[in-house]
Amino acid sequence: MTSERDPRALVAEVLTASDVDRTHAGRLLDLLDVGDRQVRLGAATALCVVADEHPGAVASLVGPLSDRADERLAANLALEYVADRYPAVVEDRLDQWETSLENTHRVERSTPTRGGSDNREVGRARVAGEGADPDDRQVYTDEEEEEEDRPRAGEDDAEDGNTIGHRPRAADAEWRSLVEYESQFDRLAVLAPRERRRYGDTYRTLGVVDETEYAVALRLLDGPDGTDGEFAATLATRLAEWAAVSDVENVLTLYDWKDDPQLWLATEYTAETLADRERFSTTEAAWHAERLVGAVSTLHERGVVHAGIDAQSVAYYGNVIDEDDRQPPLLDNLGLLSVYRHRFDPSQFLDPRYAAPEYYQRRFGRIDHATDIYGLGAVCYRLFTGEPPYTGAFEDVREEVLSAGPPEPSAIADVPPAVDDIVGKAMARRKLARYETAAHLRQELRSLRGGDA
Amino acid sequence: MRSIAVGLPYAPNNPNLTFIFFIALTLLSVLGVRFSYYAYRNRQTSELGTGERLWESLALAGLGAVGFALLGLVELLTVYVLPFKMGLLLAAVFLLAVALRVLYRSVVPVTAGEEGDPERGLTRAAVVGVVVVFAGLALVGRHPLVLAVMGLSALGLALAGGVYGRRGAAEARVQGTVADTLLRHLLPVVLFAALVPALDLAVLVGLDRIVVLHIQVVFVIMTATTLMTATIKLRQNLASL
Repeated sequence: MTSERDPRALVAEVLTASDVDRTHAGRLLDLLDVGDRQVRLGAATALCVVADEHPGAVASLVGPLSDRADERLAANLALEYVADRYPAVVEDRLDQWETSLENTHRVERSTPTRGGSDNREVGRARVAGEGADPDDRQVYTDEEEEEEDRPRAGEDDAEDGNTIGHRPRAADAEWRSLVEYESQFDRLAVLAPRERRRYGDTYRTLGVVDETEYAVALRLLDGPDGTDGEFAATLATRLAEWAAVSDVENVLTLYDWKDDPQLWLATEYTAETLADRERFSTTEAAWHAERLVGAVSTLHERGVVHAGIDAQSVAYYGNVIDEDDRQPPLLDNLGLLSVYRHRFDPSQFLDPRYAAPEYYQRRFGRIDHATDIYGLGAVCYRLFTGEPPYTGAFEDVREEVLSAGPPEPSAIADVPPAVDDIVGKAMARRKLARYETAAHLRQELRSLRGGDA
Repeated sequence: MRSIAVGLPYAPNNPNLTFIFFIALTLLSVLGVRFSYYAYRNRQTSELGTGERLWESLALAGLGAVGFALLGLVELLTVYVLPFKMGLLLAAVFLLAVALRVLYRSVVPVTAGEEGDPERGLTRAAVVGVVVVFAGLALVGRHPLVLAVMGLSALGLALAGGVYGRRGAAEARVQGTVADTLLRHLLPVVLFAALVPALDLAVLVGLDRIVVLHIQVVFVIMTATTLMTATIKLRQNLASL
């Protein structure tokens, strides 16, 4: 009898048969609950094959797969595949299934941040591109409008599949499952459509480890093809350094990273950067600057150079409830530029208006901790004045960086004269005239406490 | 057995002092070479306009100290008398003072109408002083007048270096920068190196020369050690270029 057969033989038969019997689906669904992970994954793949061969069976698979999706990665995998192949059918079935579930298990599903509901969202999001369900909104309300404005992914699959910067959705499902499998997270549920950020496409996800949930930015890093071992090795070193200093205050936490199936990293999720924010008051700016400089000072003490500090590498969570709450600035992209600048145009990864002269001409010296101090000076300029230090086209900016300094902050905004000295010293063209250490810079920033203009 | 005439010209009839001088001058020559080498490497690596003068001055200052030390060793080990060696040390002090000024001015440039002319005048006077001392010592030896000019020039140069050092410490645009640290490292070199020739003023007022020599050897050692710490800063700067 089929039901008594060795599970592995059944999976092998389904995967190799030229004419798959749809009656195997029931047994394969049962195999998703067995203890052997290899069997579960095999059964999931076999179910995908059954769905391919018998589209009429899809409707009957959605419910059982959704039931198991909370607990079983393999079921989730099969559900994602089926959802990508037959979006309309799965959509209908999920709606029916959720309605019935809510009627019967309302109390159980009312837990606001249960990972289970997010896992169900995974299949839906990829089909319909909808926002988080009402329960999730209690935690992640800020992305709701954005998601609703996005076109329905299921509808524009055909066009998006070949659009530059957008992968086909079936491929997305594949790598996401692999990343989930490789990562330290028990589950990774994508909460929002992909965003194009520096160094790669980024997904806002919910990561679950031992029932603890984390807001995670999952980033697929751009990079040369997989044959460039030196690039991968150098990047791995930098990422290892970043992970080692993730405990430093005001440094964005790097949860995990690997180069399988391609280079990816998982960090804390941040919604905005300094470049998105308005000008701060002098007291606020000094507070933010002090924290950033303190973080860099600690990084330097531990032998880590950021090498690419600008307004976009200073991130903020962006999810405060009270507008008056201070959001801590967080240093993002630690050390990545020192790897990427050798293979790509550095201006993709570092705003030229914040770049130190040594980025433009070798004669100004190496990229080292003094470059970070320049970057901090430029960020301080942005914090205190609300404007970047330079404006104009790339060549104009380059010319000004190499020949003259930026206008003094006091000429741009109402700031104390001490800010001119501090920013001027940090952004000095020659390293000799720059702060020797970030600690010196921090010490002088302290003098601005309480000196609001 | 024939006795060997060692150290007679430098520290007459005092083998202990001769030996201490030998150690001190060897130290100064080695550390001076290191200092000059790293200043030169900085000069080669740095192509910035204002940086050149700084590193050139420092490299030459190191060589001046090395010249003084080597001539002193020749005096210790031979019967030749080379009083003009002190002129080389004075030249080293002058070059260090110039380096301090260049360093300070690289951060705080002279603004229009501000003390630019007095600085040039003082520089010319210092050059004349150094040349007069060197030529005087070479031609007429340790004449009291030459010793007086030498001592006063050394004190003047130490004073000038001290002024730039103090200004740097007080100037907001300098505090905390690499230039500030380099100023602080070079200042003791200038002061100790200047005290070696300046102490000859004590001979003019009647102090026994052997006592002066005992004190001078201390300042030679201090000059060597401060050169060593300043070299650390030069190496650090080189690493960032």
